[in-house]
Amino acid sequence: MVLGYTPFVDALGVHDQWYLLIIPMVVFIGIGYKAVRVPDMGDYFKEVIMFIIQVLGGMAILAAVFTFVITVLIPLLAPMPGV
Amino acid sequence: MSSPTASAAKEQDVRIDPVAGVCAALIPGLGHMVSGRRGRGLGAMVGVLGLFLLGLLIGGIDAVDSKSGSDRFWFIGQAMVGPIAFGVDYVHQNHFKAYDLSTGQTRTGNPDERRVFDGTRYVWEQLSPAQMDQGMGPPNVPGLGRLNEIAMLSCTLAGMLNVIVFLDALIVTPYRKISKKLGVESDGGSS
Repeated sequence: MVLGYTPFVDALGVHDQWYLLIIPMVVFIGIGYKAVRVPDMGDYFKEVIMFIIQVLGGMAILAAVFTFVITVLIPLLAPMPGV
Repeated sequence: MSSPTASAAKEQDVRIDPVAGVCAALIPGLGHMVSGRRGRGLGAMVGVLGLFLLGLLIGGIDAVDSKSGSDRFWFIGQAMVGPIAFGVDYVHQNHFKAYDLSTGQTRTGNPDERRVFDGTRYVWEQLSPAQMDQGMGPPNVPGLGRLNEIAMLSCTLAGMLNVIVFLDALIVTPYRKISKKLGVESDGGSS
């Protein structure tokens, strides 16, 4: 059998961009969840977009905070000689 | 103390729709569609199947596995997607795995193996470097590390989401709007 990428059979080789996979995941969760939760389907797309923005925005803020803590705050509070 | 509008909404009948429940258990979103809520059904279908297919796209068919190590615990959640998840698992177990002769168990192939039929069952056969150069190998490339985890998580989230979709199709309740005056308005669940 010849080796080669086959969608839905072989794994994607996106090991360096794994964090970007949260975007399609949140989009599909928003589409499915809001379909059964919005009181008025007229607001559906607005609610889905709000959900996506809130989750991705929250994740981005968390990432920024943790980056600051790990790269700035911790080295400041507990400096390690030679690092 | 609840407002008069809240009491009125609570008094509305909450009914069970068994036909919608069966349809929702078979295909995500179908329950809403057969009960006339096509928009909601389509959204639920796109959401659940989209998440499930996203998991398969990321991790390949190896993301759904009911018989391998800790993956079987993930399959409990993935199974909530319904017959589609069981179908994918069946294809994975029967068309991509083979017996390891040293352990007597089925498993996914290594890059230097190929799946061959020995007369009674499929087994893994070791390949020579020349055969590997010809492009021979296992029928699928499994996901590894973090990507495999994300793929299994996506398929499991699809199952968890489908539980909500299934319950919403089976138990028809009025969709309620919480107004700013602490009252509850209802559209009767007909959206």
